[in-house]
Amino acid sequence: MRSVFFFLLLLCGSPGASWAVDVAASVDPPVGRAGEEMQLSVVVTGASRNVQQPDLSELERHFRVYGSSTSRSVSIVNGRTTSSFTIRYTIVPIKEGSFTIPRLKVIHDGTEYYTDAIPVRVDAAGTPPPVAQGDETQSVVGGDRDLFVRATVDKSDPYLFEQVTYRFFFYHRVPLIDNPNLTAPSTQGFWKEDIPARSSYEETVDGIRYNVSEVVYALFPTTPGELTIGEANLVATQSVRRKRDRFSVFGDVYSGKKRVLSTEPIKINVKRLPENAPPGFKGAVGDYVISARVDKATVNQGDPLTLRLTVSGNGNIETVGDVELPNLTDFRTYSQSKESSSTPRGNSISGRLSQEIVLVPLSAGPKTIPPIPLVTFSPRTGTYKTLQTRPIALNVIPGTGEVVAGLEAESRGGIEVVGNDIRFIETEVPSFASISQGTRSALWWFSLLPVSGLAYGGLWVAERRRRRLGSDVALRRRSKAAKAARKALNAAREESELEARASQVALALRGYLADRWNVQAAGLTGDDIAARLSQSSIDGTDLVSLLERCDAAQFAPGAVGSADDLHQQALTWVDTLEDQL
Amino acid sequence: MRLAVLSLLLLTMASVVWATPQAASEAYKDGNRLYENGDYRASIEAYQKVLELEWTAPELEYNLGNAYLKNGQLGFAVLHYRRALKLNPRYGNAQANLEHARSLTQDVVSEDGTNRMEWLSTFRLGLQATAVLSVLFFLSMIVLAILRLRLLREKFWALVLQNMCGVVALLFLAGFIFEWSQAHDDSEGVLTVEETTVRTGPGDTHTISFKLHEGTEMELLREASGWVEIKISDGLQGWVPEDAVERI
Repeated sequence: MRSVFFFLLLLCGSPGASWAVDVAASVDPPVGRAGEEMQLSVVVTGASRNVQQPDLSELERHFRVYGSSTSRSVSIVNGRTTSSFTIRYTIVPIKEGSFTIPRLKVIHDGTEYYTDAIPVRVDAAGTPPPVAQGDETQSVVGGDRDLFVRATVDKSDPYLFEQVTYRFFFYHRVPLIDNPNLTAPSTQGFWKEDIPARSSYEETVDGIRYNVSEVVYALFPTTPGELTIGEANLVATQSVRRKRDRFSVFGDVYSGKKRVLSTEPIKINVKRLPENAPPGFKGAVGDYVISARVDKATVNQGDPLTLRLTVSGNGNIETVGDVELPNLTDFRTYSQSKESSSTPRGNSISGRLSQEIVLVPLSAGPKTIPPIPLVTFSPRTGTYKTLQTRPIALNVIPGTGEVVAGLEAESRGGIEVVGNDIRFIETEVPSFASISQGTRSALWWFSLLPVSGLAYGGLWVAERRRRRLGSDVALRRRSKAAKAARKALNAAREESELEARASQVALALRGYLADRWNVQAAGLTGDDIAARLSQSSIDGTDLVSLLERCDAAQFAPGAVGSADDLHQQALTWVDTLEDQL
Repeated sequence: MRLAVLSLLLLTMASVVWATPQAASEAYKDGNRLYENGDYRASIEAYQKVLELEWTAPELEYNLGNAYLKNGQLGFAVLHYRRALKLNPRYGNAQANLEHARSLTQDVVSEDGTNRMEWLSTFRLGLQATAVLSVLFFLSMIVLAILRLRLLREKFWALVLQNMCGVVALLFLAGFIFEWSQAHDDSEGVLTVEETTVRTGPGDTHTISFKLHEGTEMELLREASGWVEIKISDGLQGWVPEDAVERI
């Protein structure tokens, strides 16, 4: 180790180690802006010492020159030792314009050396540096040299529904205090999809290194004609060094400067699709492929099978719409579900549309699902294309009623259900009901309800009456008085002798009156009867007379008239009293 | 004599309910045979013949629903399953096949509309059964009342039993009224055409509001000049041509 170090000292200090001297100057950046720093470097290659600084007095007509710094470097490459001496100046252009940094004289070891003259362009203050454009057709820039924004579109005259890729760039070379806030451009007339972009990267623009953030949108114009993508606004807070307070002990002081950077609106001229659209074109713009498959190739007649159509490719899949089936006379069709999704792929949006259609074969035998067409427009070629699926062969066997492998296998409680179908028909002849009389027979039954109700009501009334009669002797006697009297009088008709018949008539009448008044029949005298009847405003003279004649008939039968007459009068009195008492 | 009259009356009613005409039975059997042979279109015609003869049964409507479904006529399948359930709300096979048919319909509507009464189907007995049971329990109550008063010397348990019969009879009476209202409710319908546009008014000049597809069940609100105002269960409302809808 010690020997190596000694060898190096020998090389450096050796008088024999003298090299050819070369002098060069450079300015960074080559294009500057008025008032902004640039760096002038003078490199003396082959010199190790004794380099006299050049005279820059000529520069001061167009630049201010601030201080200088020197550095020396020694490198050993493939055994050759190279030494260089660099002097760096900070220069600031005073005004815009094109200038020339003149040839600078450098004296080394008494020998004069000259640099080449350097042309320098100085732009006005606040002008961002020119940015190299890629395949963008339009680019708009806003901001200044420290931070600026740029927006580009990849095409300015797309077809209707063709993707336009909009890219927004944010360049900055100064520190920021917080995260910038972007207000996306207005995209009226476009269908917009976000595309993930590189979050942050570095890029050199015009010799200056920038940090770049990027946002990308896929825009699909939905109307023809001139459309405008609005301005994008970005708000950032730049860190700015303030003038140092000479009494401060904290060194440099920084503060935030809010910057609002905007891009200019971008005009897009949207072309109409060509007029010669084939029949069946429904607006599918993009580069797509279509495929079809069925979940089973053999199916029972009447059982459903599922046809799955898939459309995928680059473009706005929402413009594809429903894929129309050709006329399938052998099948009944039911659209079951439709799903679409869009995914960014690079700078493009690719979409996928899945459509499921349930087909029910109407007849048995070999069947074919014919090619299913989809008419698309390719903006890449500017032509219409008719895509087709391959024909699908099916074998439909006559319906057996058995369950075949169905649409969805289910597993429940350890039993795997491998097919679904409707339950089978009822084979037993049912008990038919007449359509017109079915309701009528129910009404027949229903009509019994009021009858039942009336019967129950009658039963309730009868029972209530029975209970009242059982608890009220006077009421019971009164309510049964007429019936008992009539019964007794009818019995009296059986008697052939006048005496006996008159006696029974009198007994029946007195019994009736006793029941009506709830008294003992034996105690009723003629005066008593007349007095009680007069209380009810009834003239009882004739009744008392009738009773007296009945009594008299037992002793003098010839004086009282006929038995029938007595009997009839008694019945009349029962009826009269029943009404009036 | 009274007993004889009552027996005759019951027999007459029973004959109305349970008599099965020969022609209807034969047509029904034909329909079954054709269905099993896979000739669904002909089986529909055979089953329809039974209906033309003015006879019906839940099983007939169910078989018609099956035949229509197998024939690819989803709307009519839903219609006849619903009619089968109208005649017999506890008809499990019809309920299962109706669910299957609904799973094939294109329009998905929320469950809280036309189907909101379906949970009741477990408890429903139908018009005939509720009427008969209501009458039988009323009669039982009367018989028990007579027995209690005349033979059972007003036993308390007999009174409890009698009152229970009365309560049950009233419940069946309420059930009968409900079944009657359901049986005579023709405010629901099914779309039987493959697709129809629903307009904001009764006529082709009115704005198209939305589209409906075969098999969708709906409430029918009113009719005007060959158009029906309909409402589907998620609240959407509009007018469709009269011949696009069949009343359930």
